[in-house]
Amino acid sequence: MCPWFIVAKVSEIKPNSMKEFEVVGCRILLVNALGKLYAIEASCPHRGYALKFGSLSGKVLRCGFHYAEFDVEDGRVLREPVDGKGTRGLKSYPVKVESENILVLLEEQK
Amino acid sequence: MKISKFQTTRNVGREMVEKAGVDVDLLITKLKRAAAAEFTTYYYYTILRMHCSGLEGEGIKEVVEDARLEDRLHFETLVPRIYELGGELYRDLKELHDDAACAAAYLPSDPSDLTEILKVLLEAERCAVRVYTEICDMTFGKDHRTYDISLAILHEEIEHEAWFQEILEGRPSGHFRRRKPGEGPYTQKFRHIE
Repeated sequence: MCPWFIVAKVSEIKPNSMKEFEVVGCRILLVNALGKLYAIEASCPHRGYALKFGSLSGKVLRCGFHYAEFDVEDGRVLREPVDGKGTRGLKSYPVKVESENILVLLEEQK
Repeated sequence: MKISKFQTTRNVGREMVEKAGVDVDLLITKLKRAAAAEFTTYYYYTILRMHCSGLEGEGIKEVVEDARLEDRLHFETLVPRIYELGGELYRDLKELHDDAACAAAYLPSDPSDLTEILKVLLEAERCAVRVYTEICDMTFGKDHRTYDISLAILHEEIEHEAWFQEILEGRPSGHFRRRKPGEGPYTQKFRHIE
């Protein structure tokens, strides 16, 4: 069985924006950074806060709580949170577009 | 039925929230971290306020005072709810500081730079807005009491953000002064004793 899931319509994610979705119990953040779509886990791995409240600048996603910064392309940490506790990178998921639908592969991570 | 000193009966208030689908332990964690952020903000704002001096700074001082006192009231408003749900406050103040939902609002490296102080104040308020928006999202239609409390605090945090943004960016001001410092107009109904 193909583990690709339809998450949203392309029109739902405007350029340089992000939106959170729940798919089969997984919370996914879809990001449109510089015209390209990315899917990452929706909570900051530092303290579990919702990344949808953060800010996006190019491909850099900044958590709005302790200001950790991540590259949405591969999830790597660009800047550690300000409380000095450190964090792991974000889980990211393969994305593809079919017709107007955005699909995310939840089974395996990039 | 005799109940021993430490034995408790059912907590229907919590049961209702659980039955509505809220992860109550997670909610308690978020409420504790929010309360911790209010408490630490109150402390750090005390320092920031001290450095709002001089011709420009004295005008800002009163606004910082309004926000500072209301943030302490937010702490007071949240704490009973944490216990009602079966949680408790941190027993160690250091643990409270380190677990706060928002970054510490430290005095900037140049404490005479009022713009930098205002940036710290503004960012602290913005973090608080995110904190209560998240709790409101989590409890809306499920935990009516926590939602009501969080929404009341959110109203005040959004006003604090607006105050500092108006001063910092000079945008049109809708700043309605409080009738007295620490009034907390939206959260007032949750505090029965002043």
